[in-house]
Amino acid sequence: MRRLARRTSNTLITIAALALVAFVFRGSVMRVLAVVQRPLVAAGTWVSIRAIGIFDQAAVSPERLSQLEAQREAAIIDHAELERLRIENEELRAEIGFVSRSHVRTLTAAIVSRSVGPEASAFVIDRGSDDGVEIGDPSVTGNGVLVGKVVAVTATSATVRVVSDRDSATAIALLNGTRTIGIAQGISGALLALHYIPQDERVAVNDIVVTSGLEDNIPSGLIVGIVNTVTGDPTAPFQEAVIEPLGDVRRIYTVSVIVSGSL
Amino acid sequence: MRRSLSIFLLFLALAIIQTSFFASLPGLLAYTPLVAASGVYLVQHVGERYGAFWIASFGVFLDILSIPSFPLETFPYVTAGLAAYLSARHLFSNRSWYGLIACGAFTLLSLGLVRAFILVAISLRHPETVSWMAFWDTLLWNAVLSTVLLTAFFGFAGRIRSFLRTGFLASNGHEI
Repeated sequence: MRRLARRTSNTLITIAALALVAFVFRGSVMRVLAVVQRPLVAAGTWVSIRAIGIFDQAAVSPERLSQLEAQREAAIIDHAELERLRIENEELRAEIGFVSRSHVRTLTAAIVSRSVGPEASAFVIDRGSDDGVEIGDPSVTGNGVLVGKVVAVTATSATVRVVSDRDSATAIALLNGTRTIGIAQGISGALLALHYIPQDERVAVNDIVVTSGLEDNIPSGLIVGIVNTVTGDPTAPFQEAVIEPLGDVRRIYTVSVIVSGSL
Repeated sequence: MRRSLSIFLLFLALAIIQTSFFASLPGLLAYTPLVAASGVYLVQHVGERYGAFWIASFGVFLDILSIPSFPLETFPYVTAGLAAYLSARHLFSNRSWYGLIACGAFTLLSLGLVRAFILVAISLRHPETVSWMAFWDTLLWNAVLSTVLLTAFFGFAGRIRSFLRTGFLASNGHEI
């Protein structure tokens, strides 16, 4: 009995020592693990994309749904682009616009692991401080849709908190008539909420939401999503909006990180 | 040393499969609790205490990587590991399918209870950010998927035990 207890405690001590060594050298460990994790995430995402018709109970075929989503995304991007260019012309090419934004340095990164849950949403990428990634750097999809922000960095990896995470807040602007600005907060259901919008602001469903540029490291004009619902009693001082983010992290396995030093 | 290394590497492999592959799967499959179910199976059916240690360590793993599904995952998983060990030893020690499923359910219930306490604490400050419907949904599907996994493990008990012995991960006697 005593021998068994000693053996168990020896095993646990050795495992704890191994875990400690892995933690101390986590940069190198993460680099090695990423080699295994990348194909696993890619395989899971591939299954996810293929199975969308079954699990989301879509009334249209997965291919048709993908086409429609791509069309919607392209239309929103075009609209946002046109709107922004119009403002840019009106304001004599203000200093923060797409032309300057397009010169930012981005890093392509692969997602190596993800969290799953209604209360938190984050993922780990295979780029870290050695590549120039810093806390607060925005992470976008290939066509410039904001996915999240870097919240933790090691030498070889970084954790990105998704914009719809409960602890995530993003400075946004609406491309509506009154150019409403505010802070969009992540809420359950992979959505964002915009609270305390004054009643005189004209917010409507399908208004496009972009980053306002009023936040450190986040350039203006990155597409966040579209307004899904607007609520509020006309007699109340404020109205609220629910925003549907366009970047769906379940269907991507690579992202671009806009390196803050380049802004 | 060889046994400890095997235990550590197998834990790492399962944790990576759960957070990389299963977490990328669509819909409810993303909630598959691979590490927790493996830990419960090891501690209840194989009689290896390190199964409980795996469950506890998974919370630390999630918090170190900053990818917790709920806030402060270390606490719920440490409690779940403890619950798995104690229930396998004192409550559901019969190594039948029923004992295994009951131990799994008890472990997930403990995990859910501690998560619920943490969410209550959060909801006191930010009530609008907590969705209890989503929480109960997650817990329910965790339990369902855990039952499916444990049933599969139970069905392949002979092969799993032989694999564990080959990898120095199981002794001939029962440790619990």
